[in-house]
Amino acid sequence: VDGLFAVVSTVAAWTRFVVPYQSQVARQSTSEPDPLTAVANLEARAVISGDSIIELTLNRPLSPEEGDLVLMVGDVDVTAVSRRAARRIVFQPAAFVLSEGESVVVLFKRKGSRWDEIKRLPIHVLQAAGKARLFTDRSATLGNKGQIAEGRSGGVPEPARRTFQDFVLNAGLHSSQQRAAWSLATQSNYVGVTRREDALRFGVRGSRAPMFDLSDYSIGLQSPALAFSVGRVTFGTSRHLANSFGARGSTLVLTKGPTSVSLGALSGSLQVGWDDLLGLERPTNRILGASIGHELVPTRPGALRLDVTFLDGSKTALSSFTQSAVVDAEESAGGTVQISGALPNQRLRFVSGFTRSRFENPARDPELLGSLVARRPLLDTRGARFVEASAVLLQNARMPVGPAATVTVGLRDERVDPLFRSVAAPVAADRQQDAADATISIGAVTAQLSQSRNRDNLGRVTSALTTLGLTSTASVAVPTAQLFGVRSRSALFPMLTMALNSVHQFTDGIPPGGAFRPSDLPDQLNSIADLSAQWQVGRLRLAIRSNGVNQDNRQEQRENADFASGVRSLSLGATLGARGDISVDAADEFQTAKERNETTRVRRMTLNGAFRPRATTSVLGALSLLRTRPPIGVATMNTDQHVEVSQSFLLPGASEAQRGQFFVRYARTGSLLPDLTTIAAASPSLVHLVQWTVASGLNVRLF
Amino acid sequence: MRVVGPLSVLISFGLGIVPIESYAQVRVSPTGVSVSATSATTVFLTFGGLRDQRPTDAVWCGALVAAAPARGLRCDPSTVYGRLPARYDWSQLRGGSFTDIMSVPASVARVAYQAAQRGATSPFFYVRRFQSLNGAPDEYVAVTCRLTGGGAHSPFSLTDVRLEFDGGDVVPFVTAGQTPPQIAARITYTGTGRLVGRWEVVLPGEESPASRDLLTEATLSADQRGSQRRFAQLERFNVFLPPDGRITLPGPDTRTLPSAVEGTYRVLLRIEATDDREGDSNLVEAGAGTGVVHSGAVAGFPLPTLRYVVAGGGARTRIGEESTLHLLGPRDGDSLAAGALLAVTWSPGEGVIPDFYRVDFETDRGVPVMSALLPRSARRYEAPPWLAERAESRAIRWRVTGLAVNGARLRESVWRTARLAP
Repeated sequence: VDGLFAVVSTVAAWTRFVVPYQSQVARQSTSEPDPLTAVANLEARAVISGDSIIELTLNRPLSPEEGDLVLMVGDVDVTAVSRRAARRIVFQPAAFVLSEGESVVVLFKRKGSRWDEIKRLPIHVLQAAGKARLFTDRSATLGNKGQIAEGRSGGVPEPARRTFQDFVLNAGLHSSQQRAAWSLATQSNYVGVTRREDALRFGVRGSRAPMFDLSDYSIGLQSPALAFSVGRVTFGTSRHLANSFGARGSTLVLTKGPTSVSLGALSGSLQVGWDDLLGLERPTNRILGASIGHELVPTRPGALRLDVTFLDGSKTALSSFTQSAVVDAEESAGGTVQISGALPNQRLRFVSGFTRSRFENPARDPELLGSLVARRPLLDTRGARFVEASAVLLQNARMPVGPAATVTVGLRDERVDPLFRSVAAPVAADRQQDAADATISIGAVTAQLSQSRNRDNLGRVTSALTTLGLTSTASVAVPTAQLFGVRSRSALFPMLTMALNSVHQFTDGIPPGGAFRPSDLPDQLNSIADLSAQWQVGRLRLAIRSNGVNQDNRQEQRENADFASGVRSLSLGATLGARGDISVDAADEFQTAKERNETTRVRRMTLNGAFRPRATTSVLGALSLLRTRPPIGVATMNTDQHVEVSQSFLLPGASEAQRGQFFVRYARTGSLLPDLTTIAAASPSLVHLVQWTVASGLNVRLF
Repeated sequence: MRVVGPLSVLISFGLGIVPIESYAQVRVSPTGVSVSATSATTVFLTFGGLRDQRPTDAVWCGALVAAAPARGLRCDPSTVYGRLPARYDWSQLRGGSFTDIMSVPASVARVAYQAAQRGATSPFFYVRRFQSLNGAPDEYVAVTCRLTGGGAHSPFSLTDVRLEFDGGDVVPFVTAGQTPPQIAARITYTGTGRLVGRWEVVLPGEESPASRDLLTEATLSADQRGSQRRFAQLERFNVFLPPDGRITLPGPDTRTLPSAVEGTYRVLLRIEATDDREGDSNLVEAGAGTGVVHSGAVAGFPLPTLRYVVAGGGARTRIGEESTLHLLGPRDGDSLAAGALLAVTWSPGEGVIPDFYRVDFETDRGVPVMSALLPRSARRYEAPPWLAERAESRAIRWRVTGLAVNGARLRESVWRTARLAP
């Protein structure tokens, strides 16, 4: 009994004292800490200056196990330059002033990839701090480039200059000035040469090309309500009238509340050089435009917006600086109305526009017209319209099986009248197109489907051919590591992409009086398939691609005139960190004319490498081989190799910016071609054409 | 004067009921082509059977008349639309054959279309005149142009090629070691076919290419092909162009664009001839030899070139900026798997260490997404996990800027791009 009493007493005592203690300990160890909150030294929607100190204080210290704090001011993460204490974080602007206008301060708790918001504080920055700050920068590099040796095999014509030494000067000026409410930035670049053929505008002006020319320039003045730009500018957001048309000129954008007005005066084509600095000197090559945009729901920009654009311009028969084209002299004037809208959550969006344009080809092309009495196109006013809409039917929706899904569908309708044209928008005229597409994301897998129908000859001209088209596409991207839930060695699992494309073009019959024979009527089905797999394993990257196309002709008398073609390629690259990198590419290409049973096959391989033993020394090398086997005759081979060594150095007694650089390069090209004099023989002989050069150069950076 | 309509020409030339020799001894292949009614079209033509003759003018018109006392059919002077502009005339006379590149401007097709709207027949004609060197009568040879949408069954020709740098700079300036901006070729074409070619670069110290070197291979006569000068190859491409009329061809991987040596570089787009049934020129039919000349991707102009300049820091563009800041990782163009964090790293390089670093993230269209301000000791920044979502699934680009304590920009890296899986 005593023993039993002793046990009961012990249990009672343990129950009374120990259990409550253990429960207390357990409760303390499993209970969540108090939720984090923070107070700021600013009121919500406070009006502050651009150099104001922002301080947030937590209700309790943040333990290391909970993660750390992140402070965002606007879109800038300022955590690393803020002072931190156990319960406090303080940001004092330095090297970064708060932007004027509405902004937001957000304090996060970050643990791993998870960011939890603790405090959000809208603010209004009244005026950015500081006085006007002017930054300037300039540079000029004088260089000598030349060919110091050249050699070639027989059969290669001697170049106009076997050896030569030329000089170049590349220079630039840059400045920026900022005040609280405005900023001014300028930039100009210049290219000088000692050989006329190397001049920037030799292709346009020939022997009249300036040896020292202006490559480009820009001047930009900005404030919250105004943006004025001179130099290379772009104008227009109208698909059919002026679509981001870029040229030398000037634009002015004024913004007041929900309304913005844009004015543009630009050259008719993109040019470089000292001539026509403002882009307005030649009336026959000048475009003037104005655009007014208005948010119909000012409290929610983007909900419903109306844009009206007017344009009047003309172009000479001259391509832009980096363009080659069959061009005409053109003049057009027109206007467009465009309306766009979206739900607040962006799940439903639409945009629609209607354009009218009056167009003609003025008789200002002497090369085309000369002294001929030629018929010219008549002035014509035509229209174009489009409407596009998209809807997110499912957004991260949970499915009965598998991961969440997102489904977006889109519809598009577009009609461009016959003879429609605008000088500032490259639009394909005489086309009606209707299309539907869907984008489906299920977990990490994304697929896209689309189908479109189109037709031309909308004016029903009886003797012109009418072509109908049906295009279908399907593509899918599969990150296999995510798909199979692979955690370890996931880099070994590739990203797979596959695309299928079908394009069928056919006609609705022989147009009377159109000089068409049955075999001239298109009826062609093109089927295209692409497949690729990509890996990235540490410093290695590998890509394998395959492409196949089948051109199936179906018109009368041409049923067998089909083609099959394709490319299979492999690319392998590795980086050696700061020391350099190396890559190898190989491919096998073919094209088969089924009707003639003729196949052309091309095999190629390229090796590129860069090695930087020191920060000032660089060695580059490249080797490429290309073997072409035509259906008839012998195979040809083209090779290309070059090795280049460059060394930078400091000029004695010069500043850091005044550097020099020396390089030397050996380049060799070779071609193994059939000898044309024996081409008719049963086994034609080959000629090996080789040319090699040694080039060198010395650059000195003046400032 | 006898005006000849398209049907009689079709009968005469196309079906061969009336031998073409009864009109002219010079022959052409092809005799008829489908051209775009709304844009330009370029066609490779071979004229054969020349005997002490040289080609002179080339004219488009709406109707033909007998050329007597000359041979063949010439343009009715009241229906002339224009002549082949000298800037597009890349014809070559070699012995008894003449290779002609007919580039029909859009304005010529427009006149023909408007005439057809008013009730005339839509086909029009391209007439080459051949002048005898020994006093014989001139000969006129016509090619029928049929109006179509310019899609399938039109010759595969390039009519507008525009090379662009990402960011829109015409001649970007970058500093040594920086990656130049991405390149793209916006191409307008007729017909359909394989676009095969290569990107090349003319390095500082190399002779610039001549205009002839910049023609597409299909623009040259058969015996001239393969003889154009080659330069250092950057990348090859081989893509199929469906009969849509427009394509944006991506430029070479920017990692292959050299920038170690300061100077001016020129990037070339070289296009090789491919097999295109619609553009075939039959030498037998033209009396110019044997075989068929394929001319897929013919163009009536030398292709444009792109320049970029590797220079000092004061010369800069929006893309290529001054840099002594070296970016370490990730590499330009790298793709990150879904869920992987983007951690960017850099080294300050030589010279004065900035007081602060700013890391900027933008979409590939230049829309700012976020920035981070970091102390001078920082060499790494881990971007927030919501970066991909903020970029709306677009590729992003990033750079690092070194700042003085007063905010002055001391150094800046180049932009690099990264693709983030959503």
